[in-house]
Amino acid sequence: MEVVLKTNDLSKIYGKRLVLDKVNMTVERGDIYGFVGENGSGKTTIIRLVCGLARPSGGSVQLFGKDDTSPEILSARKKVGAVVETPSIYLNMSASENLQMQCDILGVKDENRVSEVLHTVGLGHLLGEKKKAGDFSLGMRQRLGIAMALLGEPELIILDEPMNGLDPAGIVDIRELILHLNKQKNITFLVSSHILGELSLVATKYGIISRGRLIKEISATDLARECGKSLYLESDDNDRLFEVISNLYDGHFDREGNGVRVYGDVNLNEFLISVMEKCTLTTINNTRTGIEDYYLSIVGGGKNV
Amino acid sequence: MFNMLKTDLRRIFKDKLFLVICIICGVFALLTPLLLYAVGSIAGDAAQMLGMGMDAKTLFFQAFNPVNDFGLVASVLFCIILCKDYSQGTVRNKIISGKSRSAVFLSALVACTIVLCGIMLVYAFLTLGVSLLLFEYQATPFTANDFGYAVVTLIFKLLTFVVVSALITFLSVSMKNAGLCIVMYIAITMLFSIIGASFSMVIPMVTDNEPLKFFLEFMVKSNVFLSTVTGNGTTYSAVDVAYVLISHAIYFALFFVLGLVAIKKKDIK
Repeated sequence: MEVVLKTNDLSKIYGKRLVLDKVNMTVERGDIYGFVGENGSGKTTIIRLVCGLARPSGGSVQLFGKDDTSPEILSARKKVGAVVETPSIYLNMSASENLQMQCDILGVKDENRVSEVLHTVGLGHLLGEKKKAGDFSLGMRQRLGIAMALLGEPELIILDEPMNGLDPAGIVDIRELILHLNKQKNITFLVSSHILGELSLVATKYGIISRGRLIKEISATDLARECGKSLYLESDDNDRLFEVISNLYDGHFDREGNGVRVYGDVNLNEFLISVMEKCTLTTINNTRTGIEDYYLSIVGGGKNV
Repeated sequence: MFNMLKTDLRRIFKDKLFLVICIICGVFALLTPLLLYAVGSIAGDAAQMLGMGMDAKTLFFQAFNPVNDFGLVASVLFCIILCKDYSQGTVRNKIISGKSRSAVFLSALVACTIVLCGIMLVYAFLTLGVSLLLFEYQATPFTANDFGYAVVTLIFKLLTFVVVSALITFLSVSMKNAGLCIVMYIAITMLFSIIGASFSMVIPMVTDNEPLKFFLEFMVKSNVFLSTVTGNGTTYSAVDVAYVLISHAIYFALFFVLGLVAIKKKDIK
């Protein structure tokens, strides 16, 4: 599979604050890469570095095989469309005028392209309208931003928190648009969000980031397997239990309440026998875990964090 | 680059502030000669003694002043227009689309130069038109020499606004917001003006110190914001031309390089 985006030990320091710490991520063609992390975790910083809006303090970004230190990165960026933070639109211009401006920047000559992308993002009714973008709702601005990202027929689209400000119907529309473009035009997506439930409906691969570090990259299939089950254990001596598990288990686990929750597909009999050989268990509860619990288990503690 | 220039020009023309600049241009071009005419009528010879330009030629060339009158207003409003690309985040579209930062800076600079010089020309010719209704062009009859002098002076004045455009573009790239950009523009131009004016006042007091006098004269003549090189009123000497061209080239290069360095180092929000 062709690698569309790759970062190598990507770091960013603002003043004396380390915002990104040696991030290594890989996005392959056809992926819908869900970029997950709490507010301030560094998602937008990575996106800004990938888009060339900020300079890395260390490491590098490769887009379509072109390193960001080489002049060829500019031609690689022509294959990228992005909405970073708030949509970059001229507030004193209409939707069509905004798109025409972007056509000029990109050198798009096709006169039907503006109409085409407006219809694609559900703003077809604004074609030829004089209403200024400054008077648009947040959702409409978001859609217009996506329309601008689509104009140059990009191979990679980067959307930073695209669901922000959208109503439920708008969220469904954008989700369907992402899936449609991914399936029909094989466009690769990098979508950041802190709404895991929403991201889980589209993403084929996840990058989990916390406090500037990429903690885990995992495919949607593996994630489903890992977070599908969890085992909750309690003992007379929970410190001892935690220590025993850390010696026995390589997967994710964390303290929870009075016990320890072990995430992932565990060979139950074998695992429990091994644990009980070393400490006494008072509670055993085998349950299914949601994606949010899994995320918290990874970023909130445990030996893999 | 051409595509981006087209975008930048369209952005400027579509901005409401550009309309404001056009209105102010018309009002100032009308009011400046009218007020001077009114003052002249009331004060008579006293106005001439105060050194107030009472001919269309003086008013025409005075129109090109980046630190006073319409020149200052236009420059300040252009600071706001250029800064909007950064405050609204629309500059991101250019970078994400694979345009180099140097091209983004150059495009903004060329667009600013074209429109600022254009609007200054319109202002100056409007002022000239209104002035000619009220005053003579000059006290002596207009000759071919005067025409040549006017053309050369016009080119020199426009060169000053090319430097001003480079300064504005540099500031818009470097500053966090339009307010700071305006403050810095006024501070820099005023500083140059005050230093130049102070030096020119000191020159008559140091006639016995030739090196110091030469240095001060050099600093005054090479100050693009003062526009003290006016020749003898009908022609320019080769030294005058050299002073104007070299000083403008140095100032332009300074702001151009500073602007390029700023945009290359800047993290774009």
